[in-house]
Amino acid sequence: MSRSTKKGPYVHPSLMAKIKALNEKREKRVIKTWSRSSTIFPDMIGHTIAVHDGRKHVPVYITEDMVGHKLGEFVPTRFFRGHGSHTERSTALK
Amino acid sequence: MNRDDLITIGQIASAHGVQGEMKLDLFTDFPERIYRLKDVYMVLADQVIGPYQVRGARLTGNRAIIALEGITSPETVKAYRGWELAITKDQVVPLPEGHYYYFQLVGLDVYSETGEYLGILKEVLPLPANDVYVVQTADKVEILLPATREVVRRIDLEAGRMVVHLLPGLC
Repeated sequence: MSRSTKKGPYVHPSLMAKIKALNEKREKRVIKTWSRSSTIFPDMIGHTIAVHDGRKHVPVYITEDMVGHKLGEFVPTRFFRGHGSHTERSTALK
Repeated sequence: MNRDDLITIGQIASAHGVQGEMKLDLFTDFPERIYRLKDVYMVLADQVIGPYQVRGARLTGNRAIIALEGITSPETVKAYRGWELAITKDQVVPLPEGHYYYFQLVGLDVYSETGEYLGILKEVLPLPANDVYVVQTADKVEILLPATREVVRRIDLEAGRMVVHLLPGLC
């Protein structure tokens, strides 16, 4: 059963408080969180949140199209390392 | 040919048909590149054999089916199951500016904007939101850097260095 709309989307109160404090001060810093179930709010856009994957905090840069999803969706708890770096896989800066 | 000079594009999964074709799990961002393949090497750990000329290639779903010169029976293909198909570095697909292959970045020296040496880029993690660069310091501590313009300020492949802006709380 989905969450009641009356309550609104869930976000950990202390995480939201830290985001609001950064927005008020117009400051950029990485916020560590264990709260994978927190929903991404528009206030978080442009911030980098280090989300715990069970072992370490993985930095996630929040963009507009991530709003409404949960933080945990962007940090898998299992990771297949596969065939190393000697493949034709590429990366680009966001 | 040295293993370090080769780039893996796929791994032999199984034989296909009776003509010696092989199904390939692809490890490339450009699956359609298989239509332009000419010579490939077969690699298992440090063993390298080849080059083999490609006599046919096509895509099926997220796999490719490839036929190599000199391999004409499914029994031969089965013997090579698990081997990787690799190309030389000069055959990789050219990337637009601002894009980098993992093998270009791994091994770069990473410095902060203040000139402080942080460590070596050990690994690139492809994550759903943004890629993450794993930097290993001299003390074997890992620093995870998001692959964003805000953090990664400069990549100089020729000098073998990357300059990053360490946001407060990043390490």
